[in-house]
This record gives sequence, C-alpha cells and structure tokens, in this order.
Amino acid sequence: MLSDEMLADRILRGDTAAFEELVNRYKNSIFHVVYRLVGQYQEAEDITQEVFILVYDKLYQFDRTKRFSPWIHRIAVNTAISNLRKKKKVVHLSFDESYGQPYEDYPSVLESDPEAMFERKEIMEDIRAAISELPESYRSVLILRYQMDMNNAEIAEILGVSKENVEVRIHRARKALRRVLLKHWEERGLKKHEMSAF
Amino acid sequence: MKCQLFDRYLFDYCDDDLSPVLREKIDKHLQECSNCSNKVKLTVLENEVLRDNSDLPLLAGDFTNRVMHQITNSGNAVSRGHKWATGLGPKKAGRFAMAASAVGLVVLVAVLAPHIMPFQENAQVADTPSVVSDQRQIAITDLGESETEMQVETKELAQKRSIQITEPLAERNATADSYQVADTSPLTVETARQFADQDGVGQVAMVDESYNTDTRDVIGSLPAAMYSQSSQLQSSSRQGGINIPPEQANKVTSLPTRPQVPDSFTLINTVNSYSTDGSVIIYHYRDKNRRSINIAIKSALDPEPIMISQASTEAALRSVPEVDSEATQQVNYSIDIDGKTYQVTLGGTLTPEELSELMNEISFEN
Repeated sequence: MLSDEMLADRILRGDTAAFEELVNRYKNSIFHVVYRLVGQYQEAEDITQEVFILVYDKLYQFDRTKRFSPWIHRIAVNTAISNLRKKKKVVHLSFDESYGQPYEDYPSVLESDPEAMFERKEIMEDIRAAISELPESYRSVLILRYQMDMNNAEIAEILGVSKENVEVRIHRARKALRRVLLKHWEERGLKKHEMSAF
Repeated sequence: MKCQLFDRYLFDYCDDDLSPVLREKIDKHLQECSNCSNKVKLTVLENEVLRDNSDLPLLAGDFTNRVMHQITNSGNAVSRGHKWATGLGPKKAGRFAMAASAVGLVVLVAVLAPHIMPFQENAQVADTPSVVSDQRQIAITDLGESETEMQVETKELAQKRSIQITEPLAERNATADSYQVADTSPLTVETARQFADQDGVGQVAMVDESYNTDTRDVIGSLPAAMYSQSSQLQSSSRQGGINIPPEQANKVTSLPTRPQVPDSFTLINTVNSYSTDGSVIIYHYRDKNRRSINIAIKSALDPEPIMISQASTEAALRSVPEVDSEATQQVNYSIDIDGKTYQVTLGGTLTPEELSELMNEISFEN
C-alpha cells in the first residue's frame, strides 16, 4: 500500500485516483474530529468536505518531509474551529470561579449501587453537555486525546505546539470540564442528600 | 499524601499515566479519603464519556464521490505543485522580469536620447521619458530588432509626441508605417506598448496605476467589453470564445496554468478567446461581494493585443447571472516564466488600487 506521502506526490502529478484513495483513508477520521467539535451532522459533513477541498487546493504547501496525517488533521481542526467562530458558538468561561464544595455534596457516580444506574446515565449526559460548553481550544485537545486516542506528541504535531504545552492544555481542559460540570450541578441545587439513589 | 497534592495527579492517575510508586501512594490515600475517592469516580466517568464513540454517526456513502465531483468541477489547483520544480517562484519571476525590463528601459533611453532630441519641438517633447514619471512604469526590452530600426521607430514615436490610435488595430499591418495616429492627446503608456508590440520593437512591461487617463480610452470605449478596443475591432478569429475546463487551459494553449489568485476569489469560467489557435485564455473570477476580476494571458510574441469580444464576455458571464458584467478597470503587464514571456491583462470591477495590489498577488506557473 502506498504511503500517504506517496499518494500526495501522485496527486500533485495530476493523479485524481490517488486523491480519491486519500479521501477514503481519512474521511472517517476527519469527520470524527469535526463532528465532535461542531456537534451537528450536516454541518460536520459540510466541513469535512471543505477540509478535503482545502487539502486538495493546498497540497502543494504540504511539506513532504513531514507526515501527512497530522497535516490533514490540523486543517480539519482549524477549519472546524474557524466555522464555529463564524457562528459565534464560542462559550467564554470564567475560570476564576471556585467550586469549593466538597465532592460528597454532589451526586453521582459516587456509589456503585445498581439503583444508581439511572442517575449515572443522567450524569453522563451532564458530562456531555459540559464538554460541549468548553471552549473549542480545550475541546480540540480532549477530542484528539480521548476520541482519537492520540498521544501528546501527535497532538502537538497537529496543533503546532510543544508536547509540554499539550500536557498543560489537557490538564486545564480537564479542570475546566470539571468546573463546568460542578457549576451545572450547583445551579440545579443537586446535593447528595437530594439524590437518595447515591 | 495530602488531598491538595492528590489533585495534581488526579487526571494522570485516571489515565493510568503515573509511575508505580506514585500510584501506590495515591491508592493508599484513596483508601483513607472518600472525597478524593469520589473525585476519582467522577473522573473515570468523565473519561468514559470522553472516549465514548457509540453515538458517532457515519458519513454518507456517497461522500467520496461528492468530494471528487466538487474537485473535478472546481478546477485543478494541484498543478500548483510545479512550484516545487521551479527555483524561482512565479511572483519572483514576474518581479524579476519587471525589474529587468525597467533596467532595460533606462539603458534604452540613455542610448536613444541623443537621437530623439533633434525631433523634439518643445519642452514637452523632451519629456518623452515622462511616460515613466506619469505615475506609471514602462520598460521596453529589446527582442532582437536592430538598433537602427528601433531608433527610427522611436523617433516616430517621439515625433508624434502625443498620439492616439484611431484606427481599428485588427486592420493594421505589423508595420509602423501603416499606423494612423492623430496628434491629439498625450502619449500614453498603452499606446507606446501597442506601438512597440505591434512593430516587434520590444516587449513592454507596464504597471498602469493611473486609470483616469486616456489609457482606458484606448483600451476600450465600451464599458462592458473588458479588454476589447471595441466590438468592431475583433478579428474574425477572436469572435466569441470557447468555454473550456480550467484544468485544460494550459493543455490546449501551452500557456501557463491557471493563475493563483487570493482565496477570496472563485473561478467561475475559463474562456479560450481564440477559436482556432487557442493562444489567449481568459479566466473569470468573482468573490462573495460579487466583485469580478478577469485575467487574460497570451504569449508576448503574439503581435495582436489581448482582446476579448463582448459576446465572449457575456457568454462567459451568462452561466453565472449574478456576476457583475461590467469591468471598469484594467492593468496590463508582462511576466517571464521559465524563459518565456507572456502578456497579462488584469481587469475587473475593483478599484485601481485594489487591482494594482491584486496584480502583485497573482502568480502563474508553467
């Protein structure tokens, strides 16, 4: 099987079949990242298509001494974020807020009681909602790490930052997620004593 | 271990990304601290959600076909990859050509000045090089004609002092003698270019930054005819035009490939204005604000000026009705690519400043 970089060479020589092969190789992965970032099927599909058109159009800019996969994923992340910003979907969070309430005051999870399964499902929905509220810079690192199962080096290559920076970003993203989640629960007044199932 | 220290390792602990020693210490702490233990449980659940792909939809089955279809219809940008094969980029090549031409002009003026002076009737004539100072840059590069011929023709140019072409160019022969000119207006860069081109004296590289001059009058009196002198000036071979796929433009003409323009412009049509020899290609672009630009390119050795018939233009634009069909400004200049010289006419509904700026952003490749 030809490597991505060899396919890129062929495409640049006018081989459209090579590009078709490249689309087939990456379409699911790119769609995956984009869908997680934008959260809507049709929009994600449109952006994924836009990504491949961009890749085709900018392929001559691809540095053939580097790997193709990070390059195309970088385009995908940037294109998705750019589309989100156009739609002003950015959620600005205040990270100065403190949620100092002890964890035992919050629901969840906290027990493995079978009766808590329903609440557990609800909590998972809460987590999903909290993820969707994170700034895209945080969501992108979380998606690449946990959805795409990439390591810090790979993420760093895609985002164009250092591995250390990726580590910091992931840590901050996790903490931000936790803050949003706890804030939701606090707003809903959920306390342990109100969640008898736990 | 204290809770505060545990917090630092919470996510790494749940990602199983800690050393065995540290992990053991945390395990011990968790057995003693229910608060931290709850944090771990919540983090594990977050990880589960973060990794969950069960709700991920699948792409439509025809996705690849749609992408390929769009690429086929939107033109071939991949040929830009030829950039890699050329040491000098198109922009640099173009600028180099213009700089070289400018140097050529200075040398030419220095050589010819003594011969021109006797024919000057007044001080204004002595300002022949003011073509350059008239907010424009003009350069003539010797294409091999003898110095004597060049001198004679340049003298004629100087004698006329202020010339305006009044005769359809298509009806002219390629000799200076057959030109009919009227001494009615100041010498323009464009007329000088045509004079030089038609006579084979030299190739002109020009950046026309002044559009409120008679240059435009010479180029086209009909506002809708983007590059033509007038519709009646069209030679029979240039009536109409052939719409061609952009990716075939360079194949049918051996002209440079589709020009690179700023991303804000989208190619809407490519027209081969020759029906027979295919040596002029016109690219029509537009942007989201419905501004249109038109780029025509031909070999510099082709003696005829770039002209696009009104019919051709309108035919091209009919396919995209919303495009503004009036191109009111234009710039003519030449480019050198791989040793070959081409003439480019850039027109559109942009302001003169925008066109001049755009000219520097457009590049070509063979």
